[in-house]
Amino acid sequence: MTLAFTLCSINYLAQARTLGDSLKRTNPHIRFIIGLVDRLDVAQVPEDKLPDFELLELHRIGVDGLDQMCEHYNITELNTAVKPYFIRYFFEKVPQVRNVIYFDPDIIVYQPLTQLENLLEANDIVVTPHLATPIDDQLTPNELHHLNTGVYNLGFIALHKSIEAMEFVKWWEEKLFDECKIDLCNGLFVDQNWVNFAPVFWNNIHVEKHPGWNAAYWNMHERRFSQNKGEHWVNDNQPVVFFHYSGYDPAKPSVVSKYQDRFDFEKRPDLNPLFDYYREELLRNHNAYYRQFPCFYIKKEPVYKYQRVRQLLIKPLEAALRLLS
Amino acid sequence: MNQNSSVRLKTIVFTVCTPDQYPFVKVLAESLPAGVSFKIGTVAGTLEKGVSFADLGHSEVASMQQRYDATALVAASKPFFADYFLQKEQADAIVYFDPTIWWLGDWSEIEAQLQNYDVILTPRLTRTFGQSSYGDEKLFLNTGMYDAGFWAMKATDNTRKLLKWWQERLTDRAYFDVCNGMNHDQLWLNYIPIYFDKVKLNKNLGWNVALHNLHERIVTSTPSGWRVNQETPLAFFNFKESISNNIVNQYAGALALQKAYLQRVQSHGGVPAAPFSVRTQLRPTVPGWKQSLRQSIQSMIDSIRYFPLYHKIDQ
Repeated sequence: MTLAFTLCSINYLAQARTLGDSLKRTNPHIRFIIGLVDRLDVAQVPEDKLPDFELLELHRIGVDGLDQMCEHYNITELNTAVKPYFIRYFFEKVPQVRNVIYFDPDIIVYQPLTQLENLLEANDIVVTPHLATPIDDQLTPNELHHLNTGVYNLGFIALHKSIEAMEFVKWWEEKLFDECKIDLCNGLFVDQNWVNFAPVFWNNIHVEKHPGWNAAYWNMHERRFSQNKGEHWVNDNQPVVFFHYSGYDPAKPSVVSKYQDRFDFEKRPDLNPLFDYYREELLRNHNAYYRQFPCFYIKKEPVYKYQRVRQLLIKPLEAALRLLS
Repeated sequence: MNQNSSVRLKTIVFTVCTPDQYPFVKVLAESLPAGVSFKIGTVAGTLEKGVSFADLGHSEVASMQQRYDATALVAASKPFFADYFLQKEQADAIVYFDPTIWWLGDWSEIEAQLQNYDVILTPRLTRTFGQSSYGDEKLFLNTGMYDAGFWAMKATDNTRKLLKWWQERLTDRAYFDVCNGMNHDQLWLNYIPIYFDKVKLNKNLGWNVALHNLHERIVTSTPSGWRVNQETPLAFFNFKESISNNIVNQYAGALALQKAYLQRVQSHGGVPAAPFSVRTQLRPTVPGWKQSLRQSIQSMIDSIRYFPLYHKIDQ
């Protein structure tokens, strides 16, 4: 059995529902679970706003040291750090699971995942690169950015239950327990940069470069989209299998993604049908309603007052540090 | 095996160095099997037997010489030299070695791999390890998965595209600046198995042994030659970082090998200054007392800066 899951807090439930709806339409045989990095009992989401999909709250999967993780991670870090913990839970605790697929909540699956399931018969792990071909300009994001943050996009990963895959998941868990941070100068970018090691430490990894897989703002330079007979196509004759709407906000419909400055809808009118559909789906799935929920696990940011006094106290100490280096 | 696969490839080996590193280069050259054609590229000066970067006639040479220090220039010039030697010698394949490499292996292994692949790279590590004296796993994340001290390429359209792509990047993005995705030429190699076909990641433990992977590769001397982890013949060792880091003292076999190597270097006019070490840059050795004093001052600074006086009140 193939199980697909996503991870989010309540504020992203519109995205998760949209992903779930798309899987139900295109891959009804795949069991879909929303891993919820939040507490429904505390948030008191009314019955009619609960998604129709299976929800699995983080505190139910038994993560050792979860309190410590919550203590030093922000919402993005925590949502990415628990990924391997959920994968292991599915492999070990859910009967008959042979394949586990992770999708970021802001993905829509447009086609049957037959090719992926076939790949998983022969490979332990399947990932997709950010870029399958070079990008020549130096706008954002360019090749240098991915060298800091990871050459594979971890909005998607698929694994086949095997000794190697389990080894990988356990190693990833250990890394993400306390090093799922954004700290580029020290080589850290949440869960993603670590996966650069996957083809180095393990052997049975497939890197899929199909332009219809994990299409997103970072690889639009190599992918042109079109619509024909209700289907989305990429580079003329290949189907869009899943599209990743990273950094898109239906409240700002003219912005392709808040993380890039290369494309807009004027330069790339071919994107309109894909994004028009996504916006409608999110609105239909109550995006504005869910957005207001704060995540249970994340502490409020403290406020630091008296900055000038602090700076005055720190000055001599910093001078001492400089002398020592 | 079909007949084509055993056709002899005309292979060039080259290195790039600054003139002061010539004693290293001589040991490398002597260690290669007779009959292998060996070329030297130089930056920041000239060598009688070498080709100077300035003489390649590339339009970006002047700006690159201005932009980079000698270490970055050595790194950035590699794909330019590769292209130059391939064309000038009409070669079928090219192998790059750092000047500090000592070849001890069986050359036919490289040739056999080049029959089947366009590019050969060596991962800097092959298995998880958590923490070693060199550093921890994340130290490799912003410095590169594959080692730039060795690579081999067959002359094909595929690798011509690769070299052109790499040249364009290294023209202005070959600094050592890990906070911005740059570690000279090395971090760029992360893209090669993704962008280009027929790339072999060679995980043979005897290839490209160096300070950063000694924790997974125990080097020993046996009657039949140097071995890695008892079994694998040692094909080549890169002394680039071990020359200047005393971590190597923890590994008796590697240390003995290094002594033998340095003796040879010495006989060619003395041991040059140690080349750039990424580990020394990122994890400088600091005396214990200094380190702990720095830590306590830093924690005082942190508590003054981050002591919260009150928390935000809910809307």
